[in-house]
Amino acid sequence: MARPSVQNKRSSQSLFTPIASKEADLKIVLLGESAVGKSSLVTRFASNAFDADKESTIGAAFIVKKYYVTDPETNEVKLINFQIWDTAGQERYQSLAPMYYRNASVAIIVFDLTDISSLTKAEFWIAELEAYNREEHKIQILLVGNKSDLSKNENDNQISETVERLKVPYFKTSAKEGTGVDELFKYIVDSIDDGIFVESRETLDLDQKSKKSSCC
Amino acid sequence: MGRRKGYQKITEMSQVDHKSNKGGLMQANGSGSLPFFFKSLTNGSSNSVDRPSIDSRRSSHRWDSETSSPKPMKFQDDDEDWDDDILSDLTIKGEKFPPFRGDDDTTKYLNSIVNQPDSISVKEPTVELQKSPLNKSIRKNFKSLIKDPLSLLSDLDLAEEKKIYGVKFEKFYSILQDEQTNEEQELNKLQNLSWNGIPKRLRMIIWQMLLRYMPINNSRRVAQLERKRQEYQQSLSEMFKDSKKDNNVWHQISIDIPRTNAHVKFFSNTKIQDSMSRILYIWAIRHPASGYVQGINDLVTPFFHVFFENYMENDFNVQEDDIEELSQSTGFEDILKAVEADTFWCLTKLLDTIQDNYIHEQPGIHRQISNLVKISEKVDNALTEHLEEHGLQFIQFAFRWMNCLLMREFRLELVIRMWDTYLSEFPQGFKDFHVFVCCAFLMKFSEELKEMEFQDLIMFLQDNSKTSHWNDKDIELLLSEAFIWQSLYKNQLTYT
Ligand SMILES: Nc1nc2c(ncn2[C@@H]2O[C@H](COP(=O)(O)OP(=O)(O)O)[C@@H](O)[C@H]2O)c(=O)[nH]1
Ligand SMILES: [Mg+2]
Repeated sequence: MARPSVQNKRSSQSLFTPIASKEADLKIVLLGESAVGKSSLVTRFASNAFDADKESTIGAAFIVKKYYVTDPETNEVKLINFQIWDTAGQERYQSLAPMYYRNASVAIIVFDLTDISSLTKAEFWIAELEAYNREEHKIQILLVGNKSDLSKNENDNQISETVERLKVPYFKTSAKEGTGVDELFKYIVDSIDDGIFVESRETLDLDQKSKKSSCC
Repeated sequence: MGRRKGYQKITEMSQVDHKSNKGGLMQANGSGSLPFFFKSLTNGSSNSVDRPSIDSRRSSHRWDSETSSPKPMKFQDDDEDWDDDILSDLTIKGEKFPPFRGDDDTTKYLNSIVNQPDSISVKEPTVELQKSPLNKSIRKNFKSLIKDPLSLLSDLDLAEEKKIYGVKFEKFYSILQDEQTNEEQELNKLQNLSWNGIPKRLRMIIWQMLLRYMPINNSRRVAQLERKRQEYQQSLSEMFKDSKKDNNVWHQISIDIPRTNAHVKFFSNTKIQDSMSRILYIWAIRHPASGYVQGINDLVTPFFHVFFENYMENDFNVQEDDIEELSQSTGFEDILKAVEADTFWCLTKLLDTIQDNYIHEQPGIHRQISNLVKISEKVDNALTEHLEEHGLQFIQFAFRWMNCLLMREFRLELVIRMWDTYLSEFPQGFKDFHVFVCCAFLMKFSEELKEMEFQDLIMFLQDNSKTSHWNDKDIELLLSEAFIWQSLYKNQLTYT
């Protein structure tokens, strides 16, 4: 259903409906202060759209996205089933967060480039996840500065200082204009451990179909 | 009209019973097969299934740690009243089942209203053969409506209202016209009637009465409203003077207000948005234990919608009409002022009943969710087992149902209809009854859900387009199902 379509112009993925030979589920959680653009980032990634009137997230929202990549050498098509928990940022909801990051492989921590106080909140989340990681979990942590379209680089010094100190991969995005979003998710895809891929259900389905009816 | 409605409900309900195969469903209350209007019949009977139990009332305000907020739940009524065997006049009027069938007694009753010398003359419908142009302006008598909202009674087109609402309208009307001697009794009658929906023209008044904001008593009403509105104005000027604003709170509110019902022109008007922001801010500052929590912004909109509508001519449609021009016209500011103050107080009354939904760690919501789980297990164990098997936790979809009182799941018009019933169950409607409504809502999709796995389950449950085709009837059916679950399982609720 959410396969890349022709409208998905920016996407570098194949425009065909590919048949993946391997697939993997990837659980992602988004954390960060309210209104920094977490939901907008997910919407941009999942449906390449932006809705300025979108209501605030309550609790958390679950979004899925099928993402196909082709190995340039082997031409093998792989499918990544993104399962994304987009959490609500307000302080009051903070105690719900562990339920959503507990099983995640990747945490995207978002702040607003034009609101430096939201970086403090991002640091808080990174600290919390690192503490969690020390107990044998391995959540990959990424930091995203969003709303680059509004930013006049006014906070750049403080941001780069913080990024250096935190030692986490850092991305600049604009969910509104779509810049930087591809790079962010490509990075995630590239860092997926090959070991988690299994034989794709799509191939299995296909096998079954061709067994059932040998004609057409 | 009312008659047809009543019978339709019964058929719908019996289908549901059949489907869910709950054989002894009704017997538990000894009320025979009386589905939809079950409520008004059992009301005041010794069963009193629809009244808050002592326990539920006692538990409802354990979190009231603020000193600044008015002590909630302190209505003028004596507690004993609640469980009294008061058969309302309306049920005595020989109205067995269904209520609006217009049998002899009811007809007599009606005639007695219409023929009263004081009552409004009924217009001949023939006068209005040609359609007049749409009138979307502010009502000419808005000033007297602000001062005494009940002045609208002398201005009603009774025949027209009767055409739309049938006998129901007469009943509301007669209660409002009564020389009120016993306020609690009047309120009781209004509660019983409101359960099945309130006519649009009377909605603001009835809501405010059900919330114990607007006194029913004629002698106190005008002065009380004036005092309350003044009090609100005062806190406004106090809180917004010399910018001692709590910036965190203000910041969050100013982020959320532009995305509150933003697709509706009315709610994207800056004057309306500023007004809603002020309401939320004052409420948050006066309730530091919770402060402003996302989702409370949604709760302002039904009040705002209903109260504003009260001052507008019938053709005005809050959902569709642009008010840019209107907001420049005379009267708009006066109306907005009254609407804003009334909304503030009504929101306060409502939130007083569910305040522990919004304090630290939101224990109220967690309790509601665990009650929802418990009741759902009773109603449809196969479904809850299915959800569990697929690793779906109730909190993952029901958190929003509780935090926003299902407002994110339905269109605003439907929410407003739902609130007629919730308010008639006030003060426990938004708290305990709501859990049963959530249960009924979940059960609506039981068969579909049982076919789904985790991913589809969560996607389906959080997708609000599944109710986009719903209308008032669907909501009423939902509410009546919730009522049945409540009467069966109310004693299963926990309050700690
Ligand atoms: N200019 C601009 N606005 C954005 C961007 N991303 C989000 N917004 C706006 O910021 C507000 C909050 O966005 P939202 O995605 O709901 O934030 P969340 O609370 O973190 O999920 C909304 O008004 C969005 O329209 C962006 O990249 N650029
Ligand atoms: Mg969000």
